[in-house]
Amino acid sequence: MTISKKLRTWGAAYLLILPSFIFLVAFTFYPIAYSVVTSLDAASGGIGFGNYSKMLSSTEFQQAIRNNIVYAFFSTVPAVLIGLLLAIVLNTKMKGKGFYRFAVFYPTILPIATASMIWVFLLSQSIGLVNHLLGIMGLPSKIDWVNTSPYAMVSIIIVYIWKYSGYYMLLFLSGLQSIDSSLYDEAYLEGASGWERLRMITLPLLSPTTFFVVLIAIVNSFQAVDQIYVMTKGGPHNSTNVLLYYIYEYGFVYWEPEIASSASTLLFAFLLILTFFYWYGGQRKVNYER
Amino acid sequence: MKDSLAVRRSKLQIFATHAVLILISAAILFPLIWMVFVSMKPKMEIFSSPYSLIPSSPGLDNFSTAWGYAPFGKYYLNTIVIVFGLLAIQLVTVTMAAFAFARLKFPGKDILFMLFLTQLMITAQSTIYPNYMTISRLRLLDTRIGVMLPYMTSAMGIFLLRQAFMVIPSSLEDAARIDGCSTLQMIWHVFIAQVKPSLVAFSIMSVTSHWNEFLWPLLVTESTYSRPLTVGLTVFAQQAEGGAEWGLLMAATLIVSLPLLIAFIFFQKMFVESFVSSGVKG
Amino acid sequence: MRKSIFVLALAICMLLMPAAVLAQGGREAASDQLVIRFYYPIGTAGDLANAMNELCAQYSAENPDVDVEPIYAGDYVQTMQRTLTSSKAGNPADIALLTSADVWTAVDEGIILPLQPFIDSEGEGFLDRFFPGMLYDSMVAGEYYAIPFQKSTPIFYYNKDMFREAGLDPEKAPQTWEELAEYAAILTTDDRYGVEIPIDQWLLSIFILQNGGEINNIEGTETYLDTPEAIGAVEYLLDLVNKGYMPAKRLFGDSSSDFVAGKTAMMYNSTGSLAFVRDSASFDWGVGFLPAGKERIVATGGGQFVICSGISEERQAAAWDFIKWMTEPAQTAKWSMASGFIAVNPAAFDLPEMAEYTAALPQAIVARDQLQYAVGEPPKTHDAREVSQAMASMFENMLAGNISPEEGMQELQASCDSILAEYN
Repeated sequence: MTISKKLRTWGAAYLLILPSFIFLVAFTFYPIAYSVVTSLDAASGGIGFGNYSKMLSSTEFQQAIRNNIVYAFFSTVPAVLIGLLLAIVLNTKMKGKGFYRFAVFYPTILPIATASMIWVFLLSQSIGLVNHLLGIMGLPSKIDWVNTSPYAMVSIIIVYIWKYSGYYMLLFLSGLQSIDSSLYDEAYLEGASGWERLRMITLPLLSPTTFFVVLIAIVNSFQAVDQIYVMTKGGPHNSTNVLLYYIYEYGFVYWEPEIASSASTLLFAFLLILTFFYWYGGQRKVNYER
Repeated sequence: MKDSLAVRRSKLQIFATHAVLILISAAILFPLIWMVFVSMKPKMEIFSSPYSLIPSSPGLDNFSTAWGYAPFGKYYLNTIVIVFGLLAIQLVTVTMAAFAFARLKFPGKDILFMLFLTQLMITAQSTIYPNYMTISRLRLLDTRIGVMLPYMTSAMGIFLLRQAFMVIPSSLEDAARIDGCSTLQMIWHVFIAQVKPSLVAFSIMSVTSHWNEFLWPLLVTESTYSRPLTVGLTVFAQQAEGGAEWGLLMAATLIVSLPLLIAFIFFQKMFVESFVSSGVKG
Repeated sequence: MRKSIFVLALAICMLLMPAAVLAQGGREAASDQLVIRFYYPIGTAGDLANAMNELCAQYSAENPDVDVEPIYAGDYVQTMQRTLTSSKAGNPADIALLTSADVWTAVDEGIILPLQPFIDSEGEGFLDRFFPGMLYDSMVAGEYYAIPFQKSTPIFYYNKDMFREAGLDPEKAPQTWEELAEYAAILTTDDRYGVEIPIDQWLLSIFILQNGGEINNIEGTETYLDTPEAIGAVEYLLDLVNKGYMPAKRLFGDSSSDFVAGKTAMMYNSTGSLAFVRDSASFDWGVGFLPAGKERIVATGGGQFVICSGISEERQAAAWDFIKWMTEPAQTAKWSMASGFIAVNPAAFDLPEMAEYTAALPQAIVARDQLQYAVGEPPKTHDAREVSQAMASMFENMLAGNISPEEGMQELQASCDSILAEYN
C-alpha cells in the first residue's frame, strides 16, 4: 500500500469516527472531568478533599451506600436465580413456550417509571391487591408497603425482580443453546441423573454467561433511580435512598453540585472497575468459545 | 436446539415443569392483567369493590378522561420525534464508527475503541448533573433536541455493528471492487446489506430504551413542547393532597405502554433476539 | 475516496438537519409577545391542568402582548425543585406557585423578589381583597414575598352512615379532642379505623397550636418543640394510635382513599380533597371544623405566587399584572370550583356561579367559615423545608412507637436548633 493511500485510509477512518467521538467526549468524558474537577474544588485554584470528607462522614451518604448494597444483593440474587431456573426449564421443546416467554419477558420492555406506578397501586395499603392476597393466606395484611421501613426497600426489590428476571432468563437461554447437546447424550448413556447432568455440564458450561448476567444485574442495581423516584422518593427516613438517587437529590433538589459531583465521581470509579471486569471476562469468553 | 435423548422427560416431569412455569408467569403477568381491568373500572367501584377482577360495567371512560386531562397527544408526538429522530441519527453515527473500527487500519484504534467501551457502563443516568449544565449553557433546556443530544451515538450500537462488520469475508469486498463499485456504493450494497439483522437488533434496543427513558427528560423538559410520555405520565400521577385516581392512572399507564407491548406481541422473536445480542455479545 | 466521503458527509448533514429542526421546533410564540413562564403544582386530583390552561389563555387573550405559559411542574416539592434548578442554572422562570415553607427557602436562596414595592404601587388597600387569614403565608420574617392563590385548610370529614350505624348524631361532628377520642373508640371496628390523621408537620403543628403551644418565633430563627404543650399534643395522638383507633402512618392521598373505601369513619384532610370525596364516596358524608383542643385553631396550607429574581423589569411588571388578575373574584372562583381550594378573594363568594357551587357542595362553606380561626402554615423558619422534614419524620417515628414523645420532641428540637444555627 502506498503511503498516500494509507494516509487516505486513516483520514477516512478518523472522519467516520469523528461524529460519534464528538458526542462521546461531550457527554461522557467531559461530564466525568467536570465531576472530578468540581468535587475537588479544583476550579477555585487548589485541590481539596473537603467535599469528600463532608460527604463520607454524613449519615445520609453512608445510609445510601448501605441501602445500595442491600438493594444490589437482594435484587440481583433472586432475579438471577429465577432467570436461571426459568431458562433451564424453558430450554426444551414444550407446549406454550411462546406464551411463557411473553409472560415473563414483557416487563423488560415496559418503562420502569410506568411499571412502578402499577406496583404502587398493587402495594397500596388499603385497596392493594398484594395485601388482599396476603390476607386471604392468613398473613399480615395491613402492611403500608411503600411508606414504611423496611417494606419500602422490599417494594423496590420486588419491582426489580419482576422487571429483570425475564431478561436474565433470556440471556441464560442463549447461553444454554450454545452448549453442545451431544454432551448430554453421552452423560445420559453413562447413567448420569438429571440433577448430575445439571451440576456437571449445564452449570459449569454456563458460567461465562452467569458471569455476564451477574455483572449486568449489579450494574442495573446501581443505576436504579426511576422506580425510587416514582415509588418512595428515597424514603421513609432515607431507607430507600441509593447512590444515584442521592446524586439526583444533591444535584437537583438541594443544589449542592460539589456533593453531587463527589458522589458521581465515586460512581464512575466503581463503574469503570466493572467495565474492566466486563472487558476482561469478555476476552476470556471469546477464547473459551473457540 | 436439537432434541437430544437426555432432555426427554417423563409425563410427571412435564407436569411439574408446567406447574412451576404457570405459577411464575402468572405472578409476573398479573400486574399487567390487573392494570387492564382496573383501567376499565368506574371510579366508585375501585373503592367499593377493589378486588373484583371484572368490572360490573366495564367502560373506556377512564381512557377518554385521562386523554382529556393531560395532553397525551402532544406527549406522544414528542416521544415519537425524540425516539425516531435519535434512531435516525444513531444509525448514521454508529454505522460509520463501527465500519471504521471493523474494516479500517489506523493508529490509535485500540485506544479509541477502549474509550468507547467506557460508555457502555457510564450511562447517561450517572452523568445527569454535568449534562444538565451543558444543555442549559447551550440554551437547549425544554427542547426535544436537548433531550436527544447526549444519546446521539451509542457504544452498544458500535459494538454490535462492529461485530457484524468483522465477520463479512473480505472476498465480498474484493468482488464488489472488481465490479467497479465506489466506496459508498460498496458500503451500501455489500456491508449494510450484510448487517441488516444487527441494525434491526440495535434499532429495537434503541427505540425501547429511549421510549422508556425517564430521569433525563424529567430534568431537561418542562412543558408540553418537549415533555415525553413517561414524564407526562408521572407528572399526571402526582397527587399531593387529593385522593388517588387509580382508574385514570392505570388507563394512562396503559396509554403509555401500549405501543411497545403491541409491537412486542407481534415481533416477539425480533425483540428477544435484539435483547439477547445487546446483553451478552455487546 | 475523498469525493465519496464528502458525499457521505453531505448525506449525513441532510439527514441530521430535518431531525434537528423537527426536534427544536414546537414553540411558535409570536416574536413580539412576551412569554411569561409560570411554574405551578397541582395539589389535588382532577382536571386542574386544563382549568389552569384556560385561565392563562384567557389572560393572554385579554392582554395580547403577553403570553403566559403555564408549566405544570408536578407536586409542590418538584415545583420548588424546578424553580430552584432553573434559577441556579441561569434560566429563571418568571412566576412560581410555592408553599409557604418554600417561599422561605427561596428567599434564603435569593431567587425571588420582595413584593412590597409592587403592593405599594397599587396604592392603599390592595391586600384587602384577601381573607386576612391567608396572608400570613405570604410573609417571610414580616415582609411580603408572595401573594396567596390556592389555599386550603385541613377540615374534618366523617362518614354519616357509619355515625348512624353507631348511634351517633350524623349532623354533629366531634367538637373537642375528648369527643374525638370517644367517637373514635365507638367507630373503630375490626376492619376500619375510627379516625385517620395524615402524618406531617402541618397537622402536627396544628395539634401543638391547639394545645396552647407555639412552633417558632417571628424571625424564623428558633423553634419551641420541646415544650409540655408540644409533647402533650403528641401524647394525645399516640394514645389514639396505641388504642388502635387510628393508624400510625397515613399520607393525605391514602387517607382520602381509605375514607371513600370505608376503611376509616373519620379523617383529617385538606379542603382540597372535597371534590375527590364528592366524586368517589358512595355513602352520606359530612365535614366539620377540626375538633378544638385548649384553643380552636387551624393552619392554612397551599400555594402562593412568587416572582423570580433575575428577570427584566418588563417581565416583572407583566408577572405582577398576571398575579393581580388571577386574584380577582372571577378567577379565584373559577380556580376554587375546579380544585376545591378555598377562593382567596372573599368577593368570589358573592358571584352567582359560586353560589350555585356552594349550594351543591355545602361542605365548601364549612371550609370558608373555619378561616376565622386560621393562622399561617407552620413552621415559619429559615430552611423551612428541612425543619418540616425533621418534624414529619420525627412525628412518624414517635407514632410508630420507636421513641417516646418526650425524648422525640427533645431530639427534634435539638435537630431544629442545629438546622437553624447558621441564622442565629
